[in-house]
Amino acid sequence: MIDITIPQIPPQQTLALYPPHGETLWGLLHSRTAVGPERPFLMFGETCRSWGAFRDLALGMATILAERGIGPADRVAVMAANSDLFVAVFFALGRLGAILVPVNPEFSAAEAGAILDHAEVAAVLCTLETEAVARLAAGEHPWIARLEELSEPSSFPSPAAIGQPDDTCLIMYTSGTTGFPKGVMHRQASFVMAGEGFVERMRLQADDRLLCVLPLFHINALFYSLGGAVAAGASLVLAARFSASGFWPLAARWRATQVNIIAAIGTILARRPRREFVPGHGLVKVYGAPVTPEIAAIFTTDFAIPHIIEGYGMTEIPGVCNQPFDGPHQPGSMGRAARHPDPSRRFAELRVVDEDGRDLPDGATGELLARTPIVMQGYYRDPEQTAAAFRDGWFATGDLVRRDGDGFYFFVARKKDIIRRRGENISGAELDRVIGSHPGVAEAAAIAVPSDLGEDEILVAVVARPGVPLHPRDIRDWCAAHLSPPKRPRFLVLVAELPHTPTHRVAKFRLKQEPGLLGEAIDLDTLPAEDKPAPGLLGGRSMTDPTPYRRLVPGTQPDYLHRPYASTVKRAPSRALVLAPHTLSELSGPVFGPDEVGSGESDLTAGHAGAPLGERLIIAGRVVDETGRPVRNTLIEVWQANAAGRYRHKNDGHDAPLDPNFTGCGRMLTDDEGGYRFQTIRPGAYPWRNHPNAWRPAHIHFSLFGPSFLTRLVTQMYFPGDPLLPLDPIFNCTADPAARDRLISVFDIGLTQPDHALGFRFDIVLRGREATPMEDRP
Amino acid sequence: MSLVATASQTVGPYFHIGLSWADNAAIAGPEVAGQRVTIAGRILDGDGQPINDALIEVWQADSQGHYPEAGDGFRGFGRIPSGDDGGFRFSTIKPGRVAGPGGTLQAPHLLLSIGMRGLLKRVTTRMYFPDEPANAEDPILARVEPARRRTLIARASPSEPALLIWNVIMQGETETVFFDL
Repeated sequence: MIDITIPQIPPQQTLALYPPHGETLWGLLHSRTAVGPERPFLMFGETCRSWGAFRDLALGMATILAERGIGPADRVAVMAANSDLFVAVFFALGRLGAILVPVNPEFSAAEAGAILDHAEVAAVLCTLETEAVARLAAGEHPWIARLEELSEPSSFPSPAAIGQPDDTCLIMYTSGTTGFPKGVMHRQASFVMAGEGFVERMRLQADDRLLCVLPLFHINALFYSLGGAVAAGASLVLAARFSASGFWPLAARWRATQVNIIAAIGTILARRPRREFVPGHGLVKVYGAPVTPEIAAIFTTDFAIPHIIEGYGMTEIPGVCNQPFDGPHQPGSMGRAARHPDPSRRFAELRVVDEDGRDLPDGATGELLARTPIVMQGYYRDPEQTAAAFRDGWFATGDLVRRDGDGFYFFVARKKDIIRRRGENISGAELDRVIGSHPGVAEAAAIAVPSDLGEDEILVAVVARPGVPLHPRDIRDWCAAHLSPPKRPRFLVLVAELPHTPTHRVAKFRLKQEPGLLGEAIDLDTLPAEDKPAPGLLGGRSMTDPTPYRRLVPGTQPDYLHRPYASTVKRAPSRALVLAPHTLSELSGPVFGPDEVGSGESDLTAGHAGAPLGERLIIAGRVVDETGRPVRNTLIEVWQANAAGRYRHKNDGHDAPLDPNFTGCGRMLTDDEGGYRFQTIRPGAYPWRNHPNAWRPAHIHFSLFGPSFLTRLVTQMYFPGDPLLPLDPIFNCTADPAARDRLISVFDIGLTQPDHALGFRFDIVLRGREATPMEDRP
Repeated sequence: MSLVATASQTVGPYFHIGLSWADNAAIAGPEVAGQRVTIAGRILDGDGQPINDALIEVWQADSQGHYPEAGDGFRGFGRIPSGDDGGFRFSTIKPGRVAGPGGTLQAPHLLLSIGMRGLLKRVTTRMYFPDEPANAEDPILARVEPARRRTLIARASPSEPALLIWNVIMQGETETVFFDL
């Protein structure tokens, strides 16, 4: 378990560990290095650099940049994924009073070229991966070099540290949710203060290790993770880019204690197979901008991370509010106005105002205005946009928020993401979240489209989760169940992917510019007959038709084709299934009575001359339907291999021995509570020919009938902690990790019989009916 | 309360151990009223290879179109494993017509549930009877594109009057229609 009682030095004392820094990049680096040049600072790849080694690297880079004529106020583009060299060149430029212009390394030559032209860069620093695009984008004029060329030795004299606190150190082009990127200018002092603010925000300690998986061309990674690590004199664990499968191993490998995430990363990690999780990782603090309460709960419980801190900021005004580290916490809130570790320093101030700029009372929704010493200097070469961004010295965020009586702010919507429909203001973000929470949906983005009535209609673009069939009716029904009528989208477009900003937000402005989007859209109000429930069926059923069953939740059942399980390739249906209603035929099913199931048939260890070899087990559980009602008197049939992993079957060629005292089959009926129980021995794992060195984890086959043809289920029960589970293509065939995990039985000491047998509990859920009209009433 | 149904897993190649006690290729005994039919066919994979480890289960109404309940003499349920050549054969009575949605009547049909190694969850399909005028107004057949309907309708054997031939093709151009229920 993680020790959550980490020693806590107050932020002000943490900063006081170091000599004064003079509010410059180099001053800050120099101050933190001075205290212990041998202490570890930057972990990247397999390399860990000490503060001293990092300072020397940055100084060497500054020397080569100076040799190339880079000096004060020169703009130098860096087009690279995260690396130690990227971090070092930022400080090198700071030493020279020059300006970093980070460019997304995945940009096309046209996208990058627009920024390089606008910033009139003196140099473009790239990597092997980005060099070709950089050369196309940069044209003839600037000097183009690879970052590693700057780490070579130079005989040129070291340039002086001339960067000043008010010198611009960064022009960061915002991905913009509006259109053409704007170049946000920040001073050197902004970086220093943002880092100090992050020390306060996350209670950073000198021995913290900040894991950075976000891109350095974004303010979060550069000002919070890097700035915070340097300000605290802590360490930075840098990933070249975020990798879902590599996240936990990386965190554990370097014993990282803190990480910044954004919503998309939180969602991805929460949905990934738990086998990728590394218990005993050292992370104790997560900064999320933002994290939903649901994701926060998963990080707290599943990932055992005690501190999940949510905050808010923009490229123009980094880190203006956050949940206080020591509470109180308001779930779903952006937090309170941010503070500096030195409480006497004026820091973030916030207001909520109406359209006319008048302050609104607590509880009212209005635009958030912010005033902070970390505010941008302006948009580069864009006085008009700069002027438009401020009102009387306050930065207008364009975000609609409300404040509660305790000073906590709650995000409502982007002003531009408000859809006007039937007189209602509808938040596009809310629709994204609700529709995105459908289990078959990977991502959703709602936008306004013009309607015949002059007002907006809602179009939602949806990306289905891979391998999950998603019908337009699934979205329509989900919206009907979760959204009030004005909020329900009229149009649906199923897309392979959505346009994103470099920070993984959906670029709605690009979506809106997508030509032909509306033409491809399905009008959910007039779904074609094939997809619309026939009258008397499903949603629109009449009182005389029997109540249908719920449709299975997408992602919680396997698909037919699952290539890792080789036998599916020639046996999985290749044509679309035909959607069919639930008629009397499907709603009825065979009944088996007690006379057909002998009481001794629930003991798989009985019925032979002697006892079978193997570890005796009691397996018990309850069978209920999706509404939680017990499924009574239903037949359960089980079969399994013997303790050696051999089936008593003519086709089983495994050379493990048969057990003359074990057949491996049993059956029983559930009782009035849906309960069942049988005795057996633990089955062995066994090899199969699916792939080289393939082994099935120990399992027991279950067959159940339930009350109808629709409830028939054949499944397999597994055992907890089986090391073969992560490797088994059959166990792993279901997209939803939670659905997989429900196939693993739970050891139960209450079921365990003293001196006799271990007990395992395995509960089973069969399909259930839709709520009947009677049940809808309160 | 809302729970999520347990995920299906393959029936595997060794289901006979646990399930063959209820094998029942004679769905209707001689005491059950109705027109006798025998249904035979083969089950083939995407390469046309016979599937020798399929589990076929049948559910059907009686000759009056009633689904059996507990205690009825006729259970309406059959369980037939495929043979080495992918073949299966069972005998029953032709069911009557059953109510369909919205006041319609369905044509006589069997419901089938098929599992096998390589199927992580069962497929469900229907078998209809040849030369049956009611097929034209069956509300479920109507949902199937016309060219594929014949995969659901058995053929009368030219040699044996009471024998119906109906094959199951798991994959490909002539794939049997399977239903999303």
